Amino acid sequence: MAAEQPHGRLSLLRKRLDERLSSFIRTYKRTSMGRLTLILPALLVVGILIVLPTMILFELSLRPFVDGSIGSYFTFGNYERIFTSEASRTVIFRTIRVALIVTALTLVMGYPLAYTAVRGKKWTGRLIVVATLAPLAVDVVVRTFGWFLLLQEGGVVSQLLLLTGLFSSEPQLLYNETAIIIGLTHVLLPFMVFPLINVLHTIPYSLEEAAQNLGANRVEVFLKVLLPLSLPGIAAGTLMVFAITLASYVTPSLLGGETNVMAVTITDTFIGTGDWPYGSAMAMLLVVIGLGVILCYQRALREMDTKTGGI
Amino acid sequence: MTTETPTVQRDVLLSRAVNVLYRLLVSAVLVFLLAPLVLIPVVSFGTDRFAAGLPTDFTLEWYIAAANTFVDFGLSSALIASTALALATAVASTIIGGLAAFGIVRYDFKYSTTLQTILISPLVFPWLLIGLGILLLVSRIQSTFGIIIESSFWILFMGHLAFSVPYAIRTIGASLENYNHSLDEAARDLGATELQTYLKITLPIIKPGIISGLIIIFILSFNMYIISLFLMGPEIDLVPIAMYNLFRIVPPAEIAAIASVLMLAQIVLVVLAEVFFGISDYL
Repeated sequence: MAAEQPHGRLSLLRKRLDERLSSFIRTYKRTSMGRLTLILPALLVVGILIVLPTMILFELSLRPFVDGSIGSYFTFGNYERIFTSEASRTVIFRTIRVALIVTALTLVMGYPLAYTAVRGKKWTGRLIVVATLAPLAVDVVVRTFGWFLLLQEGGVVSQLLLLTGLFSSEPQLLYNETAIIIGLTHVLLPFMVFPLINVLHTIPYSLEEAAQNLGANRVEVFLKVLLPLSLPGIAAGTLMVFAITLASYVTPSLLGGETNVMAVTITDTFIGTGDWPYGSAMAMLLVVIGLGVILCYQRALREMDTKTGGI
Repeated sequence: MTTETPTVQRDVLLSRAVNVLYRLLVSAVLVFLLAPLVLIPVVSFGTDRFAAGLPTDFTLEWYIAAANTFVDFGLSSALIASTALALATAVASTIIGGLAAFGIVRYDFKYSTTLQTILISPLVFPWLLIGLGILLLVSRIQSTFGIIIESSFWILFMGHLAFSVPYAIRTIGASLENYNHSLDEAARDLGATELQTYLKITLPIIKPGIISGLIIIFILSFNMYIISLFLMGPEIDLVPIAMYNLFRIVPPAEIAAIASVLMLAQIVLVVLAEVFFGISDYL
């Protein structure tokens, strides 16, 4: 009896708490106050930690940098410096070019992989999912280091290239744009494959069979059935890869050597020099491109919503 | 009949050729994905300190050197700090993101689409800018209000929260959208209270989505380099930053040894997570 009493009291307490909370939820769950309370923390995170800092970044990009300190008036001087300097124009074009090539490569390599994962034999599918997940789990520095080993002088790739007989001397594979592109394609491939796998899962195989029965060959089935239906997944994957590539730092700085991209220039400016306004102006260019990507992403999300009900 | 046979044969041959090419492409991509991950442990056992090419003689000396480096550079504190940060980030963003996903998906209300857009868009906002932005925010708070935010753990935490909350909203939102609402109604009709319905019906059903989100965010946060680079103070060290710095100091073969151990742990975690919770459905 003595042992039962606290237990009884506890369950009574729990019951009361349950009733209180339940009636509380019932009262507020349909009110806009209740919904706002649920969403407010996330809104605060986005507002204070993303939107507000971007506004500070914009303001700073309009400040002059004279004699080693940040001035108090406003100027477009930093943007002028970026667009008139040959060196920074080269970096900007290279960044955009690399991002476009990496996006195209991940799509061309990722689509067959995703298709085989969905339509292939069960174990092939499993193997592909695990082989794509594993690199995603590994630290980017480590993955880039793997490519450093493969591409370095006397590395496996250059030995294989020498074996083909196409090169008379050992080719320089590291510290150029190609090395950056190879490394980034590896880093970003999973971000393309998973949205594709998820969208391909929503396309019934009977559609492909029907098209084949009606006389379409494999290429036609791909172009007229699969491609249009997987467009939302392609859009989601493409935009994600493009956005991440555009601002990636680790891989270009380890594999690119002197070959810089915008992220490396921005980071070096902020960490190495006090010229934050110039770095901010460069970063604002990324913001503008990033906002463009977000606008496209919204459209893709809406398409995705109507077709599959979420990503 | 005589005119058709050659074209039919050609079609068959063509489709076989396409098949072979397609298989070759898929295998080549798989090799591309796994080659660097396989090479690292292989060269870590080789005698060549520059780890060029495939090893012919084998040794364990790089693992002994790696163990010494681990102690000398105080990498255990980096390991603890990275794990603590990734855990805090995963839990906090899952709670914040989960509540928001609930608010957006469960009750359709007027601004639902707009809010969803605002909250999920940061998924494609460059990480570099998040790190940079919070660095500016912290220094602006300091110069305007004279408030110095000392603890860099919490500054790092804010940076990691900013990139991870949208991920949580997306994964939990996805599992809520596939959720059958009539289950809740049935529970209530059978006499369950509001709280009991959430705890005993809703949560267990969307559990795989929540756990997948937690694991994905843990991994992304643990491996996050660029946001941490901007927000790290001198008194804290994190694994990706330490690895990057070691890259410039330690010979490649020893890096390979350290990387192999780290990689093994990460791959085991993610493969287990895939087998038990199917996390790839939520990526």
